Amino acid sequence: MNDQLRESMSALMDGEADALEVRRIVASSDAELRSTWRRYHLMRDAMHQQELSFQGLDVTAAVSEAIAGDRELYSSRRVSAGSRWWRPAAGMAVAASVALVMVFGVRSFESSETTAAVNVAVAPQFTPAQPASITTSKVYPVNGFPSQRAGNVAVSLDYAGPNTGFSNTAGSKATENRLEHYLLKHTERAALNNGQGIITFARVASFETE
Amino acid sequence: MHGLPALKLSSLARQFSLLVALSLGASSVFSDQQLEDNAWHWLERLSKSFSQLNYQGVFTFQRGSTLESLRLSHAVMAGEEFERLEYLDGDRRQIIRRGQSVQCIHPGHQLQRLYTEKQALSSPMATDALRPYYRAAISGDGRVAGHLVVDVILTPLDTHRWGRKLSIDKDTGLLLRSEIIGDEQRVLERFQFVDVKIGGELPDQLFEANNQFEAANVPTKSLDAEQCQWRAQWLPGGFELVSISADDLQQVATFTDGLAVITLFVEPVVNGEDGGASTRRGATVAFSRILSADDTLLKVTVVGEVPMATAQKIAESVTYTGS
Repeated sequence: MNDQLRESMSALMDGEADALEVRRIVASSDAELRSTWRRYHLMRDAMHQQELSFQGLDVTAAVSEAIAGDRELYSSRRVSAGSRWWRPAAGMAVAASVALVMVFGVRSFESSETTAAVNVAVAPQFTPAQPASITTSKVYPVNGFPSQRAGNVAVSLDYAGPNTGFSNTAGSKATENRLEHYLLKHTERAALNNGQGIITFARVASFETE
Repeated sequence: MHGLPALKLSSLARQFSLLVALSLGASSVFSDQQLEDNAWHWLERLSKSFSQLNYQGVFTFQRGSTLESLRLSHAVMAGEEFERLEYLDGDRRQIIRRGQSVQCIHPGHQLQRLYTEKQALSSPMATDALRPYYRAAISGDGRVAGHLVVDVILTPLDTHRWGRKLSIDKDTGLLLRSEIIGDEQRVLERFQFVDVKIGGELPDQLFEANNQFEAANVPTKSLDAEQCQWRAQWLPGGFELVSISADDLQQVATFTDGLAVITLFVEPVVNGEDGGASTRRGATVAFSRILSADDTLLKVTVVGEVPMATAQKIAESVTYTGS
């Protein structure tokens, strides 16, 4: 899916697409576009179909900063026990998280054209009314996504770049530990069922420490 | 020839061409079908060899730009399998298997017992189950770790799984190299022996487990599909449920088509935990999302050696069915 299509789709999501963009999207046979479109709406539906107004929300500045430097987007406020951050009690924060999830969502495609900068540029414009809550900060990969990895999501053993073979969205140590847990449990089961036995455990050898 | 069913016609044509080729003295006249059958035959040999033979060797595991070396020893003694996997790079980690008991030893940590649930530890590749979903073909001969091998390519027949290239020792049927092939023929990960000795006795001391540490024992239990309050509504063709286990933290379900394995984790959402995250490490992907369940939230994570789109589709198909 090229940048132009991506931008048009973002505009359409915002209700800001002009006729040309609408036609471009509708006429497109790009499979990735349909998938992205579906995903955007899936996320929106998960918000219990709240009427979300995207106008006036802009996190691009904060996101750009995160890419440029090491600034973490965690806020000091933690979600209290039992709170349903997913529920749109704070509608704006949720809308911001949708935006960032969308940035993330586009990123996870296996497209060799995807780069961090491009994704940020086409994200819908949001300005959080309050400082980004922890809910929004957790979802994006931007902080941990150096652009050189983004350029080659399909990892090739011939790839000569600095890719350590670990492209991910985990922004926190806790998330990474969780991931290691999933990988170990999965590997135990994979070794039993993939016909290759114990050599499968080589997959959990590389504990990346970043 | 008009009016003959297509199948009959091509079979006739095949026999005719075979006859012609034979009469011309061609040396290798295997039809496509026969080559394919040979490929499956090699896979069947492979599926038995890794559990039935004694062997010891060093292999590499490659993904992205990382390379790990490991030493593997495997022996069958008195009808039981013994295995030892040593990580030769970095921390001195080992996995030792004696029969049905598997232990993982990592310095500085407690001895960890893997496979705390009762599971059969040896299951040969179910090659018959693969046939509807993969095409198998011999792509040629080769040489790996000084042994002559035959290369078998498994091409998936849909877009929900990856292809494989398996290099099988001609003498013994042991798998000496295994690659997972992704889009555009890219190799996503590779296991490859660099040195291997097949056959011969291996000393029992090689498989001695270190009993000094206390093994952590997490109580787990098995569940049936009906006992779960959720269901994965979509799986790629051929994927069957292998087992579901549960402990205090999560429920874990495993699905496989006989080659690719997918694990599904369902757990309550921890405070502030995110959803909608995807990760890839070599051929392994992980995708998670949040699922609404009555008045709580569940986190669903799918991990497997499949395309990300497949993991995502499965995760998104999980629904809460209630108690």
